[in-house]
Amino acid sequence: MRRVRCEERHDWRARAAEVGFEFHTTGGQRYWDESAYYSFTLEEIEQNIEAATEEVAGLCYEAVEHVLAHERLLDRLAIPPPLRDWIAASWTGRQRDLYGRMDFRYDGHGPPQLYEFNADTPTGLFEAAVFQWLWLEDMRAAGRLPAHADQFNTIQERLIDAFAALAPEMPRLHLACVGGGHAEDRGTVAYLEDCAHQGGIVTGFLFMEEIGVDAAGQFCDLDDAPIEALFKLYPWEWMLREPFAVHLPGARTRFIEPPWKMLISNKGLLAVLWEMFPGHPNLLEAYFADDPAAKRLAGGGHARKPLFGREGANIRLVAEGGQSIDEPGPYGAEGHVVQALATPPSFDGNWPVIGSWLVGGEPCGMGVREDDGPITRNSARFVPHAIID
Amino acid sequence: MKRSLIVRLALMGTAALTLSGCNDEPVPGGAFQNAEQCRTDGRYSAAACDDAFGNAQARHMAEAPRYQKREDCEAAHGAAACEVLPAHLAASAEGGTTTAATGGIFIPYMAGFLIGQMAGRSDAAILSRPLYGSAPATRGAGPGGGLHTGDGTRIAGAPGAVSVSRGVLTASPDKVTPVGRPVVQRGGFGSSGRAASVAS
Repeated sequence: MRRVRCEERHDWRARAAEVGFEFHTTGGQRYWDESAYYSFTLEEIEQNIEAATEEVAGLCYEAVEHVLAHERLLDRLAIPPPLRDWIAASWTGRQRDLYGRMDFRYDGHGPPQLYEFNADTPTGLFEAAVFQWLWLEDMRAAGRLPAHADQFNTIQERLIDAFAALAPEMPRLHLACVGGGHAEDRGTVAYLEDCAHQGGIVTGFLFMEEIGVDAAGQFCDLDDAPIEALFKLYPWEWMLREPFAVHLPGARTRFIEPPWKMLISNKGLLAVLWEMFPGHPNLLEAYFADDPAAKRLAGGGHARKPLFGREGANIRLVAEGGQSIDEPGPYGAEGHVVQALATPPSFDGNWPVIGSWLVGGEPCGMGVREDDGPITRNSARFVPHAIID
Repeated sequence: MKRSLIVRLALMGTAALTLSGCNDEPVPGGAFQNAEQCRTDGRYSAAACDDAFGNAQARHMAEAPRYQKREDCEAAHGAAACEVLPAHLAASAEGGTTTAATGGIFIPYMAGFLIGQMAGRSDAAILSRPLYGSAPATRGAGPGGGLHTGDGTRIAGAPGAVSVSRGVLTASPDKVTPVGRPVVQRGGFGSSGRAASVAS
């Protein structure tokens, strides 16, 4: 694994506009950054990243079974009691999930270690599935990468296949995100709508705030038509605490992601996994913060993460010597996990995290994000990668 | 190879594919109740008829108009012409009888299919869509009976040769018939996230 500085395509912004990639620069700061790329060997991809992703996915499915069978764990994960049966039914009913992104620490040596699994509302999808694919083709065509350069990326074709497999169960799908002009969210949903359309599904868009409820307690769109199936780029843990949550157990709407996915996107999963599989090479030691065993991590470096945090908000990193870095944010009332510290490797002052994508439960691609420090925040940059042996 | 051979965007960006030609231009086609009628008619090969019928059946769940009351569906399509949307049943944890009161959705059975070809060339792709029956005419409501598309375009009074616009042959509906229970409230989701993107 290497970080290689390179020349940007002179017209990359025009290429982005051509494909509707509008959020490549946020608040004047680079988000998409092709001034460098990460180079991997095929063995690093297949034997390490892909293998670890497959392995951890299996552990997570066992963890879902385990959590659903133990009320105390549902308490720990702050799952509201009135919704537990409904969540369990989505699992026993084998409701299909669509996608997720596992974040790993990996430096080219040793097994990848799981930071967390973004299983409900992972973003960075368009960059990983489309824009870095286009980057590789342009770089090969320009002779700036060897003709045999490859990339770990079949994300889009797997998404289309997954939607095609879902089409008989959800021939009509609404897609929603929160209003308020967040270009990245809107772009991600537009992209998934494109994939669903290519998978043969009839689609429609609305904002989360526009979802209505009719006299029979069914969710409806702006035409008062029933929402038969809904893809939501909106976290379950927020929905469960909002006024319409009371309609969820009786709703005939199928959801993507299905309710059981929220047990995996909860950072408490990290403590559950360690409890079930202590010492596993792809896992970092982790406990619920109020577990007496969490003291084992107090002496060394550790990360304290709120169960529902995102984009690094409210993470506290404590180094072995006791110095701490605090990231601000609104999360934490729901509880915390403590995880052994494993800072990303540094490549010339850039700290990359591997985002490994799963579609339909199978690994199918990767995106690398790097930040200027050890916490990957929303200021992190997306950097393309290539497989060059 | 670890990457896809092709990545194509159908809807996004300026590279989106668009249909060439004018959508209003009429093209010849056929409206039939089943593949057998299409084969007997003789203008399309047996294979084309079978493929078109199968494709229309595959599109039925997506294109059938939705109703929230069985009686509204039957008023539009005829007595005993409607079924409960099967996909919607799968979402129910209990199963059992679905009525309007419990939030069922009703769709008409597929009554036939539209078959046609886009261009003048005989090797142009055969396209098809499902068709639905209309209830017999009631006083003052215009001609009843016949076959129409899921989004309400009347195709034929009886099976046989038809002429339809290109747009009708290639369209698929994206709106549901808003018949039935009105929405009583909105805004019950979405309040937590206004301040921040949900990126994780």
